Amino acid sequence: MITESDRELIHKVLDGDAATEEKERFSERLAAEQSFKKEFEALARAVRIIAAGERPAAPPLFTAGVMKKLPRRQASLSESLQTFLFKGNGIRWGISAAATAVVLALVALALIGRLRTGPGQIPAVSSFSPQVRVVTVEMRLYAPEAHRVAVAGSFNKWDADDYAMTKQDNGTWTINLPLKPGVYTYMFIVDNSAWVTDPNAGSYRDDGFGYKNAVKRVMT
Amino acid sequence: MKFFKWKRLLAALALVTAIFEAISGTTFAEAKRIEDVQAVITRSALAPDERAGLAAAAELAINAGLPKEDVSIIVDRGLKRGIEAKIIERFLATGVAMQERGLPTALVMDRIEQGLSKGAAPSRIAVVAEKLAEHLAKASGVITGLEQKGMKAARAGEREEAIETVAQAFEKSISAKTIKELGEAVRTQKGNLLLFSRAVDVTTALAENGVPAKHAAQQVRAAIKKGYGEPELARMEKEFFDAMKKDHQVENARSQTEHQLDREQEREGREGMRGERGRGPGRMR
Repeated sequence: MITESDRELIHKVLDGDAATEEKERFSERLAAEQSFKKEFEALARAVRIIAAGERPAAPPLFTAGVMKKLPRRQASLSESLQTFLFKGNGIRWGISAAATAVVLALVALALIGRLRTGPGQIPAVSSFSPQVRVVTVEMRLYAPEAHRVAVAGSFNKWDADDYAMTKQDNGTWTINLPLKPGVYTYMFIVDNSAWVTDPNAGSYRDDGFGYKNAVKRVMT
Repeated sequence: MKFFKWKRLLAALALVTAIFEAISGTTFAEAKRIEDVQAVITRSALAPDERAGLAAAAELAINAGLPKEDVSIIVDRGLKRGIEAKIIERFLATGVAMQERGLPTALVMDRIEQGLSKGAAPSRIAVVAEKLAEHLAKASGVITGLEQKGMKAARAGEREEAIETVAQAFEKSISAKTIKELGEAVRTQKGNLLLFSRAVDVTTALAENGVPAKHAAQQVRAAIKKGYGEPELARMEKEFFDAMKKDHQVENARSQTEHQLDREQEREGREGMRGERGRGPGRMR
């Protein structure tokens, strides 16, 4: 009668994994037990048939199909970023795709250039002068009794609420404005109501409304 | 959809959007600004027909090419001050007329914004703006004449600056003849439009502060003939005002300025100071 350990011994011998004493025991059993011999011969025949048979090649997408069905490991954000930045993504270009991209880029550049100037507008000097630097200009007004002083001018569309000045210990109100080189007119607004001309300006201009604007020339 | 496909889709969408914006001739920011103006008008206390009229005028102004920021400021300030819609429309119409004639609008927009901020009477703002528009149209003719005689702009924007400067001179009742003579002096010295603008600007500044226009122009012409550039003209103007502050006598200030600069020129030993004439800052508002 064949036991489980007999079958295990037969498999080991057929696989070539049997130790010396196991081979001896196998030989004893083969000689002594007819059922053991029949079992061995049947398994040996099966091994011979399999070894002699054709090995068909796997279909081309077999591996990809199997991999596709496997659950995908979720990449971490850093892994995704690294892959996106450093791994080649391989864009395929045809002639027509490349030509279309070039034409679109040229159209975009031309229209963006038009957009900068706007319809019917002349571009300002600064838009053609990337080297034009900004100069910090200090404005000062001595007004020790004032509660609030602001400055408004052509540099901020005459917004009276925009540039509030800071009162110093000596009663002088000051502000530092970054201005591009140019000529500006301005006035101070004291306590949100009184428009005051800068008494220390280099020159002045009538505004047409009864006030005198101070003129500030900011040089390069 | 895979993660990387989303990124590529978004990048493609962004590219298409950018091209669409360029093609449509307006940006989302600009469209938003038009909406902001409309929102301001809608929230106002105007009657429905006034609101419709002002909204149409604002949209026309923006579509005509007036800077959206200026339109927005003028409408907003005008409404906050309780100015009639018809007057605000008149402000915008002045700008539109100038834009349609190819004239620079910045000075007029600045003047209207200034008047609104300073609390000037609305009718006065309208009259000042319209008068300035007339001066700008006349100034444009003067500049065209100088250009036809060979005076050139060195950079973009100089022509507009010259037109605005001459218009401001006309506001001070400086004659076209005086301006043309200044132009001739600059042209003879082979100066460009920027130097001409400075020369007119200084002339106007002197005239505004009491120097008779003819004498102011004469002084500036003499300076140009000596080879003064923009920095020297700016200094001349400053010297005059410093002298005025000390002396309060126009004639004394004028001659003091003249003598001081002549001495300086002799001291520096330069003839003509032709090094960097015409270089200088931008426009006057």
